[in-house]
Amino acid sequence: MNELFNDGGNAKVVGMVQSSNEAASPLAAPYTIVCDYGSTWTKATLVGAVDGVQRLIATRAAPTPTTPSGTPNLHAATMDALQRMKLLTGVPESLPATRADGDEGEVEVAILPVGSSAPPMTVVVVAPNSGLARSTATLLADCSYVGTIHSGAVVELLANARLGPRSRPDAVIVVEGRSGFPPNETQNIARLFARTGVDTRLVPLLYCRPDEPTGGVAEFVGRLASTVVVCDLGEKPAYGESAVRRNLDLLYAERMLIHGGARGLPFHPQAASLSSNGAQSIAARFAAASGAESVLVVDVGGSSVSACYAHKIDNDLFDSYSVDAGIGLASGAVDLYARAGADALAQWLPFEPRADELGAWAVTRATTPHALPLTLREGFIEQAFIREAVGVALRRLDLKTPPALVIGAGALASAVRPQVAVVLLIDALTKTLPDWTKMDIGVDTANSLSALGALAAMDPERAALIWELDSPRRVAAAVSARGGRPRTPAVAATLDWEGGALREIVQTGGLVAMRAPYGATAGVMLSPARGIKLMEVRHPEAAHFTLTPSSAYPLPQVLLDARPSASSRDAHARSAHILAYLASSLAYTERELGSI
Amino acid sequence: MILPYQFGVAIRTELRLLGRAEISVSVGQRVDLDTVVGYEDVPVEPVIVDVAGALRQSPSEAAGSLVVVPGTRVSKGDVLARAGSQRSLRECRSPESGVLASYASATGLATLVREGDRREVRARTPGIVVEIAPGRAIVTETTGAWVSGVWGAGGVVGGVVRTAGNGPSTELDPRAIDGRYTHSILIAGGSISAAALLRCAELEVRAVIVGGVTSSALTVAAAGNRRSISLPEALYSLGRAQSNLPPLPALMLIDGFGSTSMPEEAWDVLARCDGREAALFAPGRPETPRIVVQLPRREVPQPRPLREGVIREGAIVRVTVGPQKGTTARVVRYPYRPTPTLSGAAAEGVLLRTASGDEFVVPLLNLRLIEDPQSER
Repeated sequence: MNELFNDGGNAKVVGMVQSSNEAASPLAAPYTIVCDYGSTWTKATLVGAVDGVQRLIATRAAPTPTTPSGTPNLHAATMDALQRMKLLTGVPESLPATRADGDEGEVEVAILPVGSSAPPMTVVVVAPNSGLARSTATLLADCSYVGTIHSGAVVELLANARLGPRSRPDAVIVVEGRSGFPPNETQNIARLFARTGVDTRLVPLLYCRPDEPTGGVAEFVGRLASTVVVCDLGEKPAYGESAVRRNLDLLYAERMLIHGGARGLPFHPQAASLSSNGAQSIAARFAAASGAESVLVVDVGGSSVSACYAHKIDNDLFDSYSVDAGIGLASGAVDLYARAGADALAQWLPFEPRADELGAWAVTRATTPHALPLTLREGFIEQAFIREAVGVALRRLDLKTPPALVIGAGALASAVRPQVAVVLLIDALTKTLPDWTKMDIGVDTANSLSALGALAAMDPERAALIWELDSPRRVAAAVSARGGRPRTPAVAATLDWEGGALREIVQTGGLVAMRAPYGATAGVMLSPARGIKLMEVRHPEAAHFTLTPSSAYPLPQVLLDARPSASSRDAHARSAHILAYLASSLAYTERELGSI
Repeated sequence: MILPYQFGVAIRTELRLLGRAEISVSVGQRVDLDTVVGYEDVPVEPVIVDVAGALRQSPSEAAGSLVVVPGTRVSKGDVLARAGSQRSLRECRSPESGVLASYASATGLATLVREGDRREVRARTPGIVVEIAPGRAIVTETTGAWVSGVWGAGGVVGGVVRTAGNGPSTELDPRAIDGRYTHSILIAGGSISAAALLRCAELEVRAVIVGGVTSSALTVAAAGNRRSISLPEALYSLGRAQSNLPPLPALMLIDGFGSTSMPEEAWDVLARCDGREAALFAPGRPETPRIVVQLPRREVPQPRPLREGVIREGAIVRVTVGPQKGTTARVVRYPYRPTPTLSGAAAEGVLLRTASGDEFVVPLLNLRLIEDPQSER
């Protein structure tokens, strides 16, 4: 069974779970549950065989509880998410309370942890010269869980008082190139280790060195090192970088699970904790490799906003990502409000906000992070915050070219309806990349990006198979039409499928959605009026493309955006168009829209 | 979760000390907020001593010249190692007082852990010491009341609880704040204005516990004589001294931001604590803000441990957002039918009934638990 249905809660299910009585250890457990520990929500995604085919079976979210001291309680979050999963699918049938039971035969599921709920790590990178130290720091800087990096040669770190006597980093990385440390550096290194707590083994040490250790310093450091990684980060190109990252991942995973009191759960023995952004970045590469060419994933979370971009050039994959920690829709709402400003937020509202309404919304959201907006007014304010959050992520990512596929995750997938998520993404992208012409837009309602990204880090073939069937749901192909005078015909659009057709004239300033029937392959022809720029064509030419449905994309839809590029001058006109679109897109009922 | 408003309970608070701490209280001893309970070592940087270099020996030779074994306490100037003949005696002396922690025969370096700075540690809550982990921690037990809020900032402060206003929904009038409230923890039921906050700062009120505060009131009060500041700046400035301004008091909100009132259950507990000594913990998110009030044992002859509860039928809850925000009601049925939300998904619904008999359905996520009569008493 491959139907996608909504159980009435925030769960998406594909297929029916096969019953399994086979007892297994975490390594060979028949099901894998990816637990994505967010600051506000813990998302559990069940992966396993359905009718003999590996599928993403179901996803469920539970609030991430915190102890009075403020630490996320990952144990309680996991058990709550699993309990919800069990109610939905019957899996896991038996999960031991802790691995300390010694009865691993009962484990039906292996848990893959994803997330970065422990505090960010402070890392010291030390090398024989400051150039190597800084280049290594640059390699590690995009690990989302790394908060601060102190890098430099030994004497620099000691002399500049950057590492005071009370500084306790979470990890120290010693990087040695081919030339090695000078022999007289031993004493300074010993002093650095004493200062950072490495000598007492309170702080883990990663020793990165080429195949052959060089000199007495290598012997000294090697004896103290908790982990030795064979790599050469001084080479061009550097090799072994991924091994260093993986070891850092493991350190962070250990730290996160210990912090969250979840050490006893049956985690997969080979699992390192990827951050959610790391997993999404892997998934974005998958999407780019499997045909989309260039993929942008935007995740708006409770306390961070991230964007991953992966693109393919001549069979080579490149990626980049940015994370803005501290801003978001829950505990990060106040900082997001401060960053965006009341005026920028208000431009997205189809009503004039009351004095201080937006600030009050932000602080209320920070104190009640799990609460659901129930009125459309609150909903529009939330959507304004989401737009600005996406804008922050995109500005930081500094994209130069528009992506072919944009996927919304986090609040874009769970807090708003898919039709609304499409508009939010288009609006934010138009402010950052006004020259976009055509994009496919999807939403990750099943949390498959984090789940499959985490799975791919361990079992890429299995993840690729699942990706084919359960990649995030595409909602619409968006096309922009720019130019023309207001309220004059801009584009004549035709949607053709076997047994039917749909024609529409889109006016300048309009935002219109056109849908083909469920499962139909539809041809799209768009003829721009004189003076309108649409994709790469101008009047009298027409643009053609095909909307092909798939199991993950069964309802082809094209969205024509003929509104002018966003600017403060026409902001209110823009929000009026959004309101008109929402009325026509069936995202909200007329009664709901009338209640603002 | 721990129920937020509890009276007649025994609250245990653990206080951990740094380094090799010395604890100066004993089990059974009564402590106040000002009682020094011990001394902790502030960590200091160890000293690396180049023993082999001082003796002009190889590291392995120098290992045999040590006159002090690792683990020994040494004073400044004590000889650590000695080599050579009587005519050419070479010595390595300790540059500081401390403990010789280790000697590395590969490098010839010894690590000397200096004696750290000693610092007094005072009790965080008034109560009785019930447990001591020698050298590491003490646990105090306070018999009295516990009230937790939804948001707080300003740090950990102690003082005497003073109620102001007449009930859980009265907005605090700045003219009612006078010298009686200086150095106290002021309790007001409803919301607090910018003028009242500034008056509290002027009179050196240590902390304010209110139902709610509007973000604009907070911003205006924190800005003082400056033109304007942002909301995050205002939140940060609580309890901290601003230039040319008295510091705003620490703040704990019982219900949330906005013009709201305090739940009657919270007001009842706090009003019974008027005139008692208390400690307020409001170090900022993500830690839960709370106040621990000490009461004489005769008033609480049989204290219970803090009770925990869950949202279930019979529980009393508070609606946190939406049209019924601030309403206190009893859970009539849970789980109830799902309620539609703006995201298109349906949320777990809870059927509630107010004291006046009105019934309505609210998503579970929009509720805060206040009392669970079925929890173990």
